[in-house]
Amino acid sequence: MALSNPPLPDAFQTSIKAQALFIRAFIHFELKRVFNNIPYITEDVDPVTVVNTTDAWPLIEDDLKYAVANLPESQADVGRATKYAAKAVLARVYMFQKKWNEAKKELDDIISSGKYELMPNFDDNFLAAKRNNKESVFEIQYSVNDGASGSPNAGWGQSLNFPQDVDGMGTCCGFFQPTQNLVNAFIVDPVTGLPFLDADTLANFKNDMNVASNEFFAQDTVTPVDPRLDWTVGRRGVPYLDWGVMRGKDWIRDQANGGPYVYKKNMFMKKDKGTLSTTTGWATGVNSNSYRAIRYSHILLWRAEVAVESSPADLEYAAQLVNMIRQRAGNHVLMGRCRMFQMATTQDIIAPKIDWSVPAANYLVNPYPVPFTSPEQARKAIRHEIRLEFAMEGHRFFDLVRWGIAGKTLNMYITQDRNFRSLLGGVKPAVFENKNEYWPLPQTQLDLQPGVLTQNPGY
Amino acid sequence: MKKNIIFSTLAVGLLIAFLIGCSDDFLNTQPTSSLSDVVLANEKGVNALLIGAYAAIDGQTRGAAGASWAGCVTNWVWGEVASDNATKGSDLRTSLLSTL
Repeated sequence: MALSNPPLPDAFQTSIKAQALFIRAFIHFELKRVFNNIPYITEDVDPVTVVNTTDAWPLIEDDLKYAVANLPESQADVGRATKYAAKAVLARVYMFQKKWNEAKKELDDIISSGKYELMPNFDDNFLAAKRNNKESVFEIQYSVNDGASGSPNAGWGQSLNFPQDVDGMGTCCGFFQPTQNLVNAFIVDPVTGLPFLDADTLANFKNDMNVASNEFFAQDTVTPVDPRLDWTVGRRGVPYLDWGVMRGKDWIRDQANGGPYVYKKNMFMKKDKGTLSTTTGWATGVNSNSYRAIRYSHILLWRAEVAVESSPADLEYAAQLVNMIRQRAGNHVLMGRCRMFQMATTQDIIAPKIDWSVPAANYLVNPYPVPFTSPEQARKAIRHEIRLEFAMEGHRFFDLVRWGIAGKTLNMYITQDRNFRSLLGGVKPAVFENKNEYWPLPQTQLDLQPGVLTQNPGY
Repeated sequence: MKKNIIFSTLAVGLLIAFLIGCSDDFLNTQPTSSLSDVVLANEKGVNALLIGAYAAIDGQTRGAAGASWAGCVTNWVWGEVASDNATKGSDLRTSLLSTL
C-alpha cells in the first residue's frame, strides 16, 4: 500500500487488514482441523519455506483477535466479515483447544449484542430465498444468472450433491447420501418426546433398502421422529420440498452403494428453478443458495456445551439453550401424507394420493426437563442436539474428533453400516485408528517441499 | 499499372507500419494477464484484491467444476462423508478420488 499516491486512509487500511486476517485465519482453521500439523502462511515469507511443525493455534488466534478488535459490528455489504463473525470463529477455535472460559466470553458477547435471533422455522436456514437472514452470523455467498459466463459464482462445490436428474430437476449427480445411522438418530421416545442418546442400540428405522420403486413399501408413520429428519434427509414416500414425493430407489443412483436416502438440506425449491438456479451448462442444479457457515443456533449450542464443560457447570442454562433449539424445531413440520405405496413413475399420478392436511410422519420434539440431571447427561444431550441440528452441514467429523469419541463412534457405525449397505457385504471392514483423526499430508505436496513439510504421525 | 498499385499499396502499408512501430510505447506496455501496482494501489484496487480473497474461502479454485468438489467450504467430504452422517453416495464407478 506504500505505493499508493496519495496514501490510502488509515481507517481504510485497517478495515482491509482486519478482513484479510479474518479470511486468513478462517482458511488456516479449515486446514488445521483436517491435517492438524500445518504451515501458517503469512504475507512476509516465501510460502514454500514454511514448516508445519510450529503450533498454528496461537497464530490463528492472533489474526482473529486483530479482526475482532478492528471489524465493525455490521457491514453494508452482505458477506463481509463482521466483529461477531470473527468472535464466533475465535470461540470455535478456543473450543477445539478446550479453552472454555475464553470461548464463553466471545459467545456471551455475541448473544448479548442482541443482533441475532433464531429464524421462526428450522428450514429457513436452507432456503435460497432466505439467505442472509437474522440467524446468519457468517455466510458464504453465491450467485447465478448474474451475467458471468458459465456461472462461476454459483455453489459449484456442492454441484454433485443433488438427486441425479429425476422428475425434471436438472440436477446432478446423486452424491452425499445420508446414512441409516443418521436417520436412526432422529427417532424420538414416544413417552418423553426426547431423543435416544444411545441411538446405536436402536433397531433401524424402517427403510426401503433393496425395495424397487414399483414394489409395495409403506413408510413408518407411527414411530415418533424429530421433524428435522424430513428437512435433512430425502426419503421414500415423503414430499421432497415442492418437487413431489421422493420415489425411493428410482431416485437413487446406486442404492446398494449409497443407501436409500438423498441429500435435502440446501436443495433449491422447484418454484425457484431458473431464477435461483442456473439455466445453462451441464449442471443446472448449481444455484445461489448460501452456505450458512455460522448461524445463531451454533452460538447457542456451543454456549450450552461451554456451560457444561466449564467449571462450575451450569446445567440450568445449558438445558434452557438446548430447549430454545428444540422449541424452534417443532414450529414447522412437513405436511403431506403419501397414500401411494407402489410408486408411480410420474408425480402426476402420485399427487392425488397425497393428503396435505396430515403431517408426513409422526413428528414429536419436546424440551428437556430443566436443569439437566448431571454433566454426563447434559454432555450427551448437547452432542446429540448438535448432530441433529447441523447434520449434513460439514461439522460432524470434526466434532467427533474434538470430543475424543471419533474412534468409538465410527467403529460402531462401520460395523452397523457394513451389514446395511449390501455392496459392503464381504468387504474387509475398515478400522478407525487414532491416527485417522487427522488426514495424512498429500505425498505430492511432501515431494514438492522436501525437508520443509513433515508427515503426520502414523502415516 | 497493376504492379504500381501493388507497390503503392505495399508502400502505404509499410508507412503505416513504420509510423506505428516508431512509437516506443510498447516498451512500457502493462502486462494484460495480471494486474499491476498502478491499477491496484488505490482503494478500488485494494478492495478488488480483498474480494478475490473472499472468493477463495469457498474452496472453488477454478471457479467451476473440478478441484472444487473435495475442497468445498461446506466440508461435505471432510466433515460429513468421513463421519457417520453421510456416504459418498452415487455409484462406485464415479470415484471421488479420481477427481482429486
